[in-house]
Amino acid sequence: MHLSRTYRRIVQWSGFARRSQDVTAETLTDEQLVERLVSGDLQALEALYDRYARPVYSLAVRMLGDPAEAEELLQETFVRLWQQAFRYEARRGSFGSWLMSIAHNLAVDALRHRSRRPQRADFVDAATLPLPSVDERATALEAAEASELRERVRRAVAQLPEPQRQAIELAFFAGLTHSEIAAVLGEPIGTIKTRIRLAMQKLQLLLRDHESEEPCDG
Amino acid sequence: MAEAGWPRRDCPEDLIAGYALGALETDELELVERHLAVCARCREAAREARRTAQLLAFLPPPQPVPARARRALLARIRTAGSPGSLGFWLRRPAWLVATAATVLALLFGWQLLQQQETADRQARQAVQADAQRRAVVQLIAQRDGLLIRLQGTGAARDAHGAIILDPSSNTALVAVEGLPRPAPGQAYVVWLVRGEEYRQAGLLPVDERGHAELFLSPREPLRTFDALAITLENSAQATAPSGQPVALATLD
Repeated sequence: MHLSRTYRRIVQWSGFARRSQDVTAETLTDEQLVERLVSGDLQALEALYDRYARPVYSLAVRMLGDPAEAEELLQETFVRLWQQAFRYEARRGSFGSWLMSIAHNLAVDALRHRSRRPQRADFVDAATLPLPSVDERATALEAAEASELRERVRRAVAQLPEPQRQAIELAFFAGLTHSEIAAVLGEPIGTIKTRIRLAMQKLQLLLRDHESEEPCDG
Repeated sequence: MAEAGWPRRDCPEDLIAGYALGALETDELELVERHLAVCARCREAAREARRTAQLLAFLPPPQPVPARARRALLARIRTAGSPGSLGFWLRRPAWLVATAATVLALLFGWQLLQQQETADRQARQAVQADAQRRAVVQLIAQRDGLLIRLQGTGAARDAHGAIILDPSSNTALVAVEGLPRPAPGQAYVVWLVRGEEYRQAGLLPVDERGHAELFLSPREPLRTFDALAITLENSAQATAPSGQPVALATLD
């Protein structure tokens, strides 16, 4: 029998569906976990956190450069996931890409906000702070897709000529516009546009078999 | 289709990669989005470029995640409540609530002014307003409802508004303000876009204050469409967009 989403939710809230949640979250696919998340299953959120906290945190550290801000962004990404899991559509692409888009958009917003406000003096040397204890589950249970993609993308980017790689990374990881990149590198804006276009064309070719999915909107 | 004959030399091909990476200036962004509303070939190129750009997020070397981040996250989630709870709904992002409030104010404010004109019209419009208010409240109250912002381009640069989308009942409300009145014979046409296909979704009537709204209840699921576009056409009977793009919103 096909139940509408509303009825499924009523059944889940009423507790009748608790028995079905006995299945260990770890054995479920990302898409199955998202379905559970939509109905408010905290265990599903933790399972997805186990799989994707590390790539999200690594992206945040790379973009923001500050572990404390990266930690905030990691939390914010998963709070958004908790609130907006219903927006994910599997036909449009992998869950991992969708979640990373949310994290990337939050990081770009943070970078742009940071550039508009006065920078505070940093009186604390991060190297002198005690190292926080590490979340071992987030390392051990990281999604296979994330680690495979990390390696594939690293190899693809390594094949780009250095000036193209630099331009792409300034755009994606520093959130800079064409003209800002041109200013940073001291190059004409037309040169920057060309480098970015050629780099993206090459990456598209090198990563083609990962592009059978629709893009996700975070 | 109007876009089938789009001259390739006018396509902003050198900006598509920058668009996918978020590296465009505001004016370039407007230019590209205006163009994407009418060019299926560039829309596909932008889609492919976005797929590639998204993969770059996996590039950074792995960092150990601090254990306290999980504890802090779970504490925040417990405070925020379950996605289905009233508390959760009330704690939705401020912009969402603000946009909903703007849309509601737009609808009710507009109707209030109209109701002052004559007693007869007042009574009739009160009934309409009530029906519309119920529909809007129903749309917003839906757990799965989405709010998508609309920003005008070109001649309608000052226009702005929102689409309230309710996938569960497959209805949407398009509300825009700041639209210039169309010249006699012209009309704003709303299109639902899927790939290269444009479905006319209705005409957007504009009052003397530049307010416009349209309820959509298409036969096909709204989720199957990529975008909603508004164009200014020389004929209300247009079956394909050939006029100036006024606004575009992706329905992703």
